[in-house]
Amino acid sequence: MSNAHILKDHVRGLDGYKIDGTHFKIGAKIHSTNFYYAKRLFQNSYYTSRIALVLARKINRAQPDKNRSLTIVGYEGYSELLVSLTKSFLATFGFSRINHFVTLEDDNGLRRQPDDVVLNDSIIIIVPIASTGSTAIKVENYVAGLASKDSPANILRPHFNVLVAIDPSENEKGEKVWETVQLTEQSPIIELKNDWREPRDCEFCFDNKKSLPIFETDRSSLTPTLIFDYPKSKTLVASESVPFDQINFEESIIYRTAKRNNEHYLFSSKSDIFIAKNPLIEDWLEKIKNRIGVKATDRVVILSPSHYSNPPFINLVNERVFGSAATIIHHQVNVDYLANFEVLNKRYLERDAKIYFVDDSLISGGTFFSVSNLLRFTAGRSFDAAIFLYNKSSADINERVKQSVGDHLFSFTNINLPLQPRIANKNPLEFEIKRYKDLSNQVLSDVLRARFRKRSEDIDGQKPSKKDLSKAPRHLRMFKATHKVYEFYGSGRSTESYVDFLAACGFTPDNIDDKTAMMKILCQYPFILYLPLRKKTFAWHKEWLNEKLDDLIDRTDQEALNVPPINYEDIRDLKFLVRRAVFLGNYEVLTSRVLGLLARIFDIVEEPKSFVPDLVVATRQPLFKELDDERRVRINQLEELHIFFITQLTEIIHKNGWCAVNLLKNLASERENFKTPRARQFIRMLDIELAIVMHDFDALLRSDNKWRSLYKYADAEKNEKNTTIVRDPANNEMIAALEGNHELLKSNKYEICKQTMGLDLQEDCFLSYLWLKKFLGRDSRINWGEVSLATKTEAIFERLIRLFPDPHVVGTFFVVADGTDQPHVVIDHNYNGDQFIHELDKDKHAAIIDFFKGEPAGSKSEDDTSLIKPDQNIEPPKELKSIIEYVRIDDSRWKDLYALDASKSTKQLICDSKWMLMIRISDDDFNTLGLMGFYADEDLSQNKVAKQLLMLLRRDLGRFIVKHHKNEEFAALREVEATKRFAYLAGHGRQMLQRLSEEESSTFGSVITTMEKLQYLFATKLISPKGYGHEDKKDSEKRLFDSVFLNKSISKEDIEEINKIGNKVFETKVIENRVQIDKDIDCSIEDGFAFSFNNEILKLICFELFINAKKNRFHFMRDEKCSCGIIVNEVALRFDVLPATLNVSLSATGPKINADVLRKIKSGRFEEIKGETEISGLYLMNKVLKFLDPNNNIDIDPDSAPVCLLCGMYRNTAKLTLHVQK
Amino acid sequence: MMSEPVRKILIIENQQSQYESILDGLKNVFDLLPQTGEYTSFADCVRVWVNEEYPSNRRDKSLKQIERVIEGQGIELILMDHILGGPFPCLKGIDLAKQLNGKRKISNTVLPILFISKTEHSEHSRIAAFEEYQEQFPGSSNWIFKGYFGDSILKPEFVKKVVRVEIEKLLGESPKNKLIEILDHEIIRKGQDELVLAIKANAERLKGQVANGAILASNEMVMRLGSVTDKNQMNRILKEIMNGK
Repeated sequence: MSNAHILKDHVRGLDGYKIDGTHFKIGAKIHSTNFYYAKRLFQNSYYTSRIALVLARKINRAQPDKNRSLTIVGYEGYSELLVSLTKSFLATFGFSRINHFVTLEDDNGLRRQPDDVVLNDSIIIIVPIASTGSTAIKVENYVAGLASKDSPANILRPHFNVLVAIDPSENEKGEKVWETVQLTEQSPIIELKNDWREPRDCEFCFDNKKSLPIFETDRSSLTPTLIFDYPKSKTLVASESVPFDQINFEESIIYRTAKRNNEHYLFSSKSDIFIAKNPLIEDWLEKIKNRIGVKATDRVVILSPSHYSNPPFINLVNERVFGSAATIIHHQVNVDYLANFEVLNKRYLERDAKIYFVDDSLISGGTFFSVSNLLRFTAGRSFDAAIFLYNKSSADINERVKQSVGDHLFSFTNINLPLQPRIANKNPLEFEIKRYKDLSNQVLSDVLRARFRKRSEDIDGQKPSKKDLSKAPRHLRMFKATHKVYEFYGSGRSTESYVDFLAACGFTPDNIDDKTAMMKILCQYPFILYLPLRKKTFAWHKEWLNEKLDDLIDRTDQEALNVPPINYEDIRDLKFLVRRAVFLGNYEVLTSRVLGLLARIFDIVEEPKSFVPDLVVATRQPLFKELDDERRVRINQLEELHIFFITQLTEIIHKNGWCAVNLLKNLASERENFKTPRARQFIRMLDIELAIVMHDFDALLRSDNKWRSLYKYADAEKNEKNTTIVRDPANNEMIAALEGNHELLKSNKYEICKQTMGLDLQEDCFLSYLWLKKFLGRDSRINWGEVSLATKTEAIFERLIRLFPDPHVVGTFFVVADGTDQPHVVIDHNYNGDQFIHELDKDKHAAIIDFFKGEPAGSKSEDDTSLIKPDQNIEPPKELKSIIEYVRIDDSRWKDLYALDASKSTKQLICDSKWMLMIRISDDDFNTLGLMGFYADEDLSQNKVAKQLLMLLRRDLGRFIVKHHKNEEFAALREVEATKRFAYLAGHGRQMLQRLSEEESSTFGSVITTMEKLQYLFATKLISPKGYGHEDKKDSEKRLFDSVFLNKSISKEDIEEINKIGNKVFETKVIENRVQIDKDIDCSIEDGFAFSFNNEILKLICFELFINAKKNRFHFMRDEKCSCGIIVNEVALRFDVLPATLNVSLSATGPKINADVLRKIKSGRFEEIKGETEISGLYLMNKVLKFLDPNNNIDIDPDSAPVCLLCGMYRNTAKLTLHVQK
Repeated sequence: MMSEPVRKILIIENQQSQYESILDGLKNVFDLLPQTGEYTSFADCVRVWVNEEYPSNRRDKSLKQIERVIEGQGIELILMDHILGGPFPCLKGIDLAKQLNGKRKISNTVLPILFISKTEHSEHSRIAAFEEYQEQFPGSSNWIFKGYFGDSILKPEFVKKVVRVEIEKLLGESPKNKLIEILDHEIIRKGQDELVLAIKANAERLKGQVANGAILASNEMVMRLGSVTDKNQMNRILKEIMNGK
């Protein structure tokens, strides 16, 4: 043989680098028939050193200046060997300053390892395997981002792609089919041919005849999540255990809910029940006794790990094998100290003792090896034998344990149970928990959110339900099937037929329960990870699904003759197969033939109660509660049939967005066939949920640098810019950030959104959606300085109506919950600025309030609650409507377009429009946070896109409410709304006044009323129904004032009442706290005193002065005795009557008053006393006084007298000068 | 039976009625100070300090009294009102917080502070002051509003529903709690002997976060842990040690 032939044969003999004839998803843009397992190549220095040499030579040629320092950047950890070897070769070429790092990809994008490498003069990027070239660009962008703005990174081109696997196909014009523009500035070392498909119309996805299971890889498209061969089982010795089929596993198997060491187990077992159900254990132990031949004189020790589940088995072994003569040492692995173990137990563990390891389960071998090492360390020996109840270990662990006990490994039952391969660094069940949690976060309606969340919690065992005994036989069958699959393939057998496979595994192929149990476990982890088995499962399922579809399509054809009608079992089987199709990625369920069949089925089962026969009558049984319950369960399942199918389709779309495009295309011809209320509901929900494809585009946007920096200047530091984001109505800045951004606009994710939702960047509704995402996203992260909540909320709602094709016809309202979950309107206006709701009224707006409070999603029968058995103690899932739409029938009656029960579709609502849409915004527990409503004088119910976009924004709006609600800003917003009608000009909080009037109404009631009258007056004085000019305004105000405050006379009784108010102000704890004064305020005035001035106003002003005096009192400190000897405050009120004026002075002890404050009072700048937002009560008083007579005055004596300079006590005096009121 | 609350919270509130609402909403959950009988004298100390018109020696004295309560009682968090006194401009809650935590920053014992205010509008100076405070004392404060229920604020149900959660969040972020969390996690994940090793290994690192981090490595603790096997008991001891008992 020639050398060339020898070399060729050698190369052909190399295996494992390429998986062909399959269906792989490579990134987001390609489905490929081949997968190159590059990782293995780069982890082997035989190949890597050769490639590194080639690379080093290329770099050497490209960078002749050896004085420049180099940084070599690799991609993913497995490129480390290649990059470091390249570095070594470059060093031999004379480069003296070289460093390197590799970039790693995770959920947060790229990062580098190690993270402290400094970027050198020139940077070289090496990617081990590439297809479209996007990886090198990604790494380049990342590296560019690492450099400082002042000295940008000098990244050398071309980048090096070691392996480039591309599809070189050309079209009829000789042009390349696949655009790999990015490869033009990248240099390949080895080029490989591939065969690619576009995910949008991949025949292996969407063609029923050619379809294949799709295999995925990790995020970096490098490590396929699959096992290349069939499952393997242990080699068993028949004499050491009892055959699987002779063992009774009934009632002892726990499916999925078992969690140990924070890891989930698919199957677990209860030892005590198992022992009780299997008398064969005693015979088996008898055999072991004979095999190991223990003598009566032997010193026997059983060394076991301490665990709650194993004592029954250990005791049984001791009794049957050792005549209860063994010493049992129950050792706590990882708890008991090794040194103590030696001290305490060494004397039992002598060389001549017979020492056995006994435990109920052998799984990972961790405990066994730990105890075995302990024995070796303590006594320098190994176990004489190991005895287990169950041996669930994998083939390799089984072999190791066997070797360590000299083949004396005994286990009553040998079970092949799934290995726990890690997917995305998680165990399969944990991966599923995350997947369902993600789904729950992505779907749009609360019903589906609740379903997916429940599924995630179920798998996680977060809310363990009581054992449902009805499922036990099914779980047992699945347990058996799992074992048998390992056994079948472990023995080297193979078959192409599902029937033969079932039979070979000991199942009855005609038995539907056997057939489904086997299919169920084949479609689950870990079996879907085995490449050849998954291919087979896919084919078996496809065949079964096609048969079932053909059968049901025939039998539901209205024109077909002599066909049996479909029944509950048919629908149950179809549901089963559709569910498996979701697991396997069989997209046949998206086709129009399946959608058409669904429409027919909805027609047939619209009345579930008539469809499901009365099982009690059918079986001629006497009244049997179980059968009755079973019937209700079936009815319930059919009532929720539309939700079942929606959840399945959503799961598929979540995995592959192109399924939404295909589904929508296929639905076009069948849409009109969905006629019944439930079928229409299915279509409505589906239309909304299809919009989840937008999440992928949103994520892509979030990772885009240009998009990230859009409106970035809007922050607390740059207030003048803050409003820019609000004022980008023409979307100019946004368009500038998106235009020409090929990475975004040519992405599959964008294309999917365009095709699914009919959106385009030219459309205002799409741009408005993007603006809202950006705005709400930024708002959740930063403080906006001066942009008020009112401005933000207005801006949001201005944009929300732009989601509709003609925003000028749409009105909107926004209702948020207060701290007690009561609804409050915070936005309410239509296109003319008119209000729609005004104030929420429980009679007029019952439909709005009910929806706000949460209406149950209406898929279930009224007697549904009876399905929850009292002993189950399970809280039914909280499923509330998220969206509702009404059209007006007549003056007060509106029709609920989503009602499943036509008889309950009419509601009373007094509102002036023809169509109304409401969307409930909820928190993570589905409690209402708010409600957004839209209405118009025309029926807009046919507009799908606006509803999709609004539903997509629900959670963002929820976060907006939560953020501002937490701060009670919405309450402030409500108050701002209120102040439009009722201004609060006084400095005291409304709450304080309210409490005063509640607690001391006899004293303060009239003062508070005066305050409110004044507030009302000042708030409404400018409002005149007819309007008036500036000239007559003042007269009008005066007339109004006089009509409100009629009384113009102050008497002695009024002064006495003022005394009382003063004393109560110091007494009450509502104003700071109770304060003791030296003596009661008792301003005496002569009998017959009278002065012409409104007594209500005077009392209010005095009240204000008392409050100020109290708040500015002197604060005595405990344990402080000043030499002045004053220990309580002194307060004195005085009235001096002159013919035309009344002088009131109130003096009180207190700290010195700030000179600046005194200046402001003196110059009448009362509004400046308290800073930017607080308003001094004196401001209102002064305003009133000046309004009555410009000569009226409030002042504080600037020469307040020091009482004691040592402790800083002063006597401050407020002076009021009032002129006779005319 | 309800267990005795152990986390000590100091309420600095200018209105007695609101102090009582807070007390009502948080009793049985936290150990709240000042006690009712001490409210006025404590609040007066605060009012003296915030009013810069008082002589400086009185203000210093009042500050010392406030600090004495904090140190002496082992306060873990302060619930701080914003407006603390006077009809005329005075220093605010943020100023007091800066004063109290300024010294503590040096010793790495910054107290978490939850500011609570009825200030309704987003006035710029307040926001700026709070942001400045957060920059100065990162991760140890938050700001909430007093909650409106129609015309009243700080209803006990609001305090229970919102204020409590916010306090727990801040306490959760406190170094002591962080450490307890780490230890809880370690106990579950590891066995006892490994835990002790982990604590030793972490002690140095935790020193930066916990003032008394060194105690973790002390022999006393190792010995106390060595004598127990029950997880709950071990947890209890760890918490006791952390609480300095």
